[in-house]
Amino acid sequence: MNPLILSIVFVAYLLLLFFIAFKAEGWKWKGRKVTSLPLVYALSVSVFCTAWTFYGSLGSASTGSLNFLAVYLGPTIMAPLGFLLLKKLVRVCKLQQITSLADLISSRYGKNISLGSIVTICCFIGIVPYLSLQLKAISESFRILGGYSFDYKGVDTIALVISFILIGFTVLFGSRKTLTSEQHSGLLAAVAFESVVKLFVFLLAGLIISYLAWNSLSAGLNTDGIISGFASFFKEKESIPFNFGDWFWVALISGFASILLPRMFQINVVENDSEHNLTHSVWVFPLYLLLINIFVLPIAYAGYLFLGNNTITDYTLLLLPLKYNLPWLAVFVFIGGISAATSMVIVETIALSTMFSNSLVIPFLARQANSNSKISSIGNITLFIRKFGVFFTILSAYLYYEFVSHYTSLISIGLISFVSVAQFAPAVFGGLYWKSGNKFGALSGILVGFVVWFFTLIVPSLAQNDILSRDIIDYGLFHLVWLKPNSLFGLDGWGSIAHASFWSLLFNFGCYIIVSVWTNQTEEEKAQAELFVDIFKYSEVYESSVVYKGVAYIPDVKALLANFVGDVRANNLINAFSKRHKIENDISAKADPRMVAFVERTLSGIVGSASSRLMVATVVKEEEVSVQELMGVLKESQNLIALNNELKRKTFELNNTKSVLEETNRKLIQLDELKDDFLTTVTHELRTPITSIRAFSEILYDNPDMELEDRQHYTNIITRETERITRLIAQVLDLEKYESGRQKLHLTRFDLYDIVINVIEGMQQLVAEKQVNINVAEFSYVVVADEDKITQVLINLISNAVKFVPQNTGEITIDSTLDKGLIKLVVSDNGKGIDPQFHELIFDKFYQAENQTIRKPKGSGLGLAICKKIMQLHGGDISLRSILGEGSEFTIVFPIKREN
Amino acid sequence: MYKILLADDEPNILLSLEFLMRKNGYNVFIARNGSEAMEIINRDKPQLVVLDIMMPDIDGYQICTHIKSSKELSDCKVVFLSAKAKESDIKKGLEIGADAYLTKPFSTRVLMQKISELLK
Repeated sequence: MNPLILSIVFVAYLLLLFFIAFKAEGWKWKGRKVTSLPLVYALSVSVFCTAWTFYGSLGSASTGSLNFLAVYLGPTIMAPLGFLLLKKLVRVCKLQQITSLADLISSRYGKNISLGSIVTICCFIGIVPYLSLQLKAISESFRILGGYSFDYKGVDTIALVISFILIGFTVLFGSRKTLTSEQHSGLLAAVAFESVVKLFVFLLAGLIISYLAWNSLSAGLNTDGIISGFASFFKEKESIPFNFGDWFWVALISGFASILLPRMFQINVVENDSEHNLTHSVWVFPLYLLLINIFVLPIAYAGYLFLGNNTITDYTLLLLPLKYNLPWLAVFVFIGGISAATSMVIVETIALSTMFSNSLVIPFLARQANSNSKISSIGNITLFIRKFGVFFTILSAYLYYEFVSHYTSLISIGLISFVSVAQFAPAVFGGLYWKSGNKFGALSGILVGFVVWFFTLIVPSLAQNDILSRDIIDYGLFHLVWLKPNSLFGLDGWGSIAHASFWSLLFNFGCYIIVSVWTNQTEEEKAQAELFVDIFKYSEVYESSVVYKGVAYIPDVKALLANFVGDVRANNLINAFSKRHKIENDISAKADPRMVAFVERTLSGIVGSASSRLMVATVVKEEEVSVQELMGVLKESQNLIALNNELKRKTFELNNTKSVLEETNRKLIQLDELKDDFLTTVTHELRTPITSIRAFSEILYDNPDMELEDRQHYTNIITRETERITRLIAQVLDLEKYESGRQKLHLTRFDLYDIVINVIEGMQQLVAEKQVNINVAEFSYVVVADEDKITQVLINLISNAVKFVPQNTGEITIDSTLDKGLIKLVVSDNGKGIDPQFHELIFDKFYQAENQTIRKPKGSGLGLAICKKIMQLHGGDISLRSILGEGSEFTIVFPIKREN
Repeated sequence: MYKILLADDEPNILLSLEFLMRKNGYNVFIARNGSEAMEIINRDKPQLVVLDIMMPDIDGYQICTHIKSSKELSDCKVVFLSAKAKESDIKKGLEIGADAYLTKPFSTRVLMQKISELLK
């Protein structure tokens, strides 16, 4: 393929990456910043999968070994445990503004400078080969596609050019700003994008290759044949038999690496802006690992079948599309490889350059800086140091690639790096959970672990390449048999990685624990240990409770900060902090201890905790603060918060009680008003008949000569109005019984139909007078209810209907249905209907309340209110549908069998 | 002969009032609810109205307000005859311009005397 096209593709891809990294900070999705979406974060964790995953797994699988799977099994098994670890790590690092692995270890063990420097150097030694692996992958994939030979003389110019492009990219995005937190959210989006690209390409290529391979195989073989061929490929080629030790150790160090690799620390902790993100990455990351491994075996088998044995098995994925004459797919694979390699290089380099500047160079300078002007000069060159760190890191990787790496397979270098970073596990994990772990323990553990690592993994490869004498391998160091690098103390039977992991971690852990127990911690270390291990206890009060016993002045503190963030920004930060904590912020004032601590933390985010401590010491006349004092203050703050919470709770309870009382009072007032309304209603109802009685009595008295007929008519009215009063009194008493709950039901079994017929017969005379036609549907329901009370309801409804239908043309229909144990009985008429405004009111006993001047339709009295009470007592209800001028329809509903 | 309108929704009260008015020689009109009363007032322009307050559609207050705000009905007297017997009800009735306010149950003699006074 034309190298020019490849170069254009390469550059175009990087430009796209540039674009994303530059623009992503402004992008929004559903109102949230794209860069703070949990999924974007979770995908960027897949920076774990490098070119080594993308190409190297196939190389390993092609030799018939499944051991590569342990590399993904480890992080998957580790994920739930890692979730808890990372939650604590993130909390600690956010509160203490820790921005790298070296800074973390240094900070935990008393902000110790030498510890940070040693961790940094070890990281470089361990990681640079791993970085060179990525350069190698890009360069070689370019060569394969471009048709170049692998046997070039002299310098690999392609790798050199790539190195410089990557330096440029990383400098642009990794060291643009020095300010706290060290987050690069645009970069995070770019890395997430690369994760998507590499997965997509791998799946696409896997699908196409599997499909084509299957097709060409099934031309000659049946399905069983293909499957048994596939199985025997792995059986035959399995050179090393399955070894539990190898699997265990590779899985373990891969699990450690998924947290401790500088790039993983960068993404998991430094770039992570919320602990909540971890709940997404905890399942997305293992899922990603599963997907990217799904097609490894089919592709490896296809490579074995169609590429022959004499090939660079690492690049099976690139060679197969060429073999099938699918150049576009090969280009896709090439891009996938680039994305895997570049994302790793960029993030890893940023992490390493932070360590380089904050844990190696700046502490060295800061130790000599005893005045503000010297610190100021450090501020001026911080960015430069960072950029130089990037340059130095990638260039080292290139040089390693150029001069050392040509003979190794991709996978072995990766695992060697894993073992090296696993050496930080005792210091980091121990530091998070064991308060007695101290700097001597950490230092000795890391150093011993690294020596063993170097001896068991690096020495043999140096000897194989004749840089060291081969005697070491065969006869051991100093010709001591138990010092053979491949079988230390006579341990045989494991692969070199398992062997090295076992011994290095054993010595490392051993030294860490034994030395920590034997030696003492300084006060500062004790304080940090307390804060790390019990971080969840203190994180709430952390910011406001750090103690300094010493004197500092605000201008000094501000000037110190300004060296690194500029005057304006320093002013803003200090003002905001003093406002938040209500601290005096006067030019002449002494700086509050909390403010000094704040400045130290802010500087930690820029230059690392050790340098920051040194620099703050130049402006504060400090006395040592004992751990007891520190804990005292922390506990006091905690008590204050607890007290405050207690007060809040009490206030809340009081408020609750108050509102309950108010509610009760409101109800009582309402009840009182209802009582008044009822009295008004009743007296009003009584006044009406009394009015007639009085009027007619006076008329009769004043007119003794009245006609007999009139006299009889008027006395008859008086009698009927008296009856009306009697009825009303009875109703009031009745209603009162229901209200007070003294009214009981007397349950019997009876047929509802019989009751209806009885009621109608009782009204025969009235019905005949008005010429009403009453239709009763055929039904028969035996119900259990209070017969007298149901009768009372029916009398009320039917007599009302009779009263309101027109003379001669009145029609009343009565029907009943049963549904789900509920009896429904409807009485409908063609009377004048009831105005909608009365539909609710009509069942209410208080229908003529204080301010009411509109009257309910006459004649209803308290009857319907009592009907409603009766139905409610039966567990049922009564309702009305009516259209003015067309008629009314009263419906009662009640259970067919009322339980007592 | 004076025209008197009796407006009430209680038939027995209407009956007694009608008897009393006729006996005293007035020309009697009868309304069983508010809207009938309005119609008669506007059409026949009675010299006096005996008004109940609580009626099914239009209440007595509204009718009184209508009468007292209309120029054509400036001669029309209003006598409230209501079961609403509270101090505040009576005050409200007189405030909107009623010429008298009698509470139910009422004395027939007092009512007739009031009416003849108002019509002088």
